[in-house]
Amino acid sequence: MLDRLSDMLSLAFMQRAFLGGVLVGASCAFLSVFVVLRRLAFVSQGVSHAAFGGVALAVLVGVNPSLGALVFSVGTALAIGGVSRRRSWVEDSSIGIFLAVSMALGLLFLGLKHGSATGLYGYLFGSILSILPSDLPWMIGLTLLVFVVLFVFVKELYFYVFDETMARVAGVPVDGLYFGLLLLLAVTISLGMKLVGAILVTALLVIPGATARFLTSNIVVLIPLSIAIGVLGVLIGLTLAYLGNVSPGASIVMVLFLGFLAAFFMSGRGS
Amino acid sequence: MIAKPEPPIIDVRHLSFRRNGRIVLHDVSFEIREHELVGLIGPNGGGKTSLLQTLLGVLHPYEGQVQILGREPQHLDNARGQIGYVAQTKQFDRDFPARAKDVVLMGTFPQIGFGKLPGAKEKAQAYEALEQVGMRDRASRPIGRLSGGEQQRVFIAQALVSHPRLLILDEPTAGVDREGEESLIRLLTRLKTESDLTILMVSHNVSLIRSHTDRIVALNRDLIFAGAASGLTDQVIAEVYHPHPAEAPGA
Repeated sequence: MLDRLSDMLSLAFMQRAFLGGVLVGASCAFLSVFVVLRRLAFVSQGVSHAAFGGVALAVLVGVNPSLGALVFSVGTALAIGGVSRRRSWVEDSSIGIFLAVSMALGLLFLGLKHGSATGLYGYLFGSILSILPSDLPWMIGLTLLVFVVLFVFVKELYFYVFDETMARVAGVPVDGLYFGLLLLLAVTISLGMKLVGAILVTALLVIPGATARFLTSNIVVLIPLSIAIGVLGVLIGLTLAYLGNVSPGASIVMVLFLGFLAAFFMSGRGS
Repeated sequence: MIAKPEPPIIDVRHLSFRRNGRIVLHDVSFEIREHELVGLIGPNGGGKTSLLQTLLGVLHPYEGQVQILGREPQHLDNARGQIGYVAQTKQFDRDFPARAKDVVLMGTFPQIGFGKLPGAKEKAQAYEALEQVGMRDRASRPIGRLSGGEQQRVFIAQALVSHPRLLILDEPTAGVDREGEESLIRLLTRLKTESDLTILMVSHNVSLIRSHTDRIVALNRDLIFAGAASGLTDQVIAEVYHPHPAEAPGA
């Protein structure tokens, strides 16, 4: 067993997967605190599915699929935000619409692409081999961006997700923060998609924050705890994926889910 | 030499506001001077919350002139910290991870600026505000575990933490029992004197407003009454709560 673990750590693609996984896990888990408190789980689902449409279009026109995912995620996040700000009841419905339309576009683009669309499975469900050396610089850059933005606005975001009206009256730029959160969602989704896939990346944006929320009511503890859960979940999930030769997305999500269940019962809410 | 009178803290002249083509406020004029405790009454849909939101710079454009602390509401900028506000409906999640002191501390965020976290000074301010409203001993309780009256005191402490000159409260006694109501209004009366505050509060409890405030503004889209609390007769109250002509059958 130890030999297999030692082998795993000596493999270049696994080293990249672990480094990428830590970056993805940490940035998604930081953001997930606000996704859970502001109840943006469905928004993140919508944006992540939109990323699939972007990947398919990128494959069709022959550009980097990650770029396609980023452009589609950002576009969808801004569209959901714009529509929701005009009519508050529309957020939920607009996500349902954008989600379905993006998936439909993805399938249409794939239909137009004659021949096989190799590698797309990885973008949908994640792949342990997907993180290339050329991916790491922009993954590090985007993770830094997410952390810097969240650190700079952390207290304003906390006020905003607690009570939007009061925050607005106090002079907190709540519209800017809402769009900022959506943009960060889009960025982290395009980051996490390579590893766990467009379908499963929402789990990284919801489960760590929700798990930490069961374990503490102190915001100062909540954020680092959520990050620790996210990073640990990714590291254990990746290891199990390698050992069991299964999809890293599935294994990371199942590890995070087991942690969530444990926290749920430990907090006494399951009784 | 006669001293020039201080300008009013709130000066509203011929204010009208429409939403979706419907008149919400029509030609409303009144002023509020420093150190007054003013009650704002009127029926549901009478424009009370819209008036407060206009004063706070949330609702615009409007017709007429509005000055608050000598500025137009949408250009309050730094003066915003001189206004404490307690909103009507608290939509917050009762399970939200915040203790009473965290909620009060939020009131200091705008003065701290982006990229910095509250320090010892702001924490001391938060405890001081909790002390003012008699909630210091519950500072570490989760906000969702406090009673309605206690939560309201915490929100008043949040509004007080930046040492405002003007405190605006939208139905602070809603959802609070009779004993809690009396206690809250006594607290506001004490704060007005101790903290040199001007207070504008909306309430549905006319008898409470009549017996504890200095002046009353009564709205039913139009301004029905603005004057000393003692001048609010039963006849005026009946007029305030009479259906507005636009709502009358056949209108």
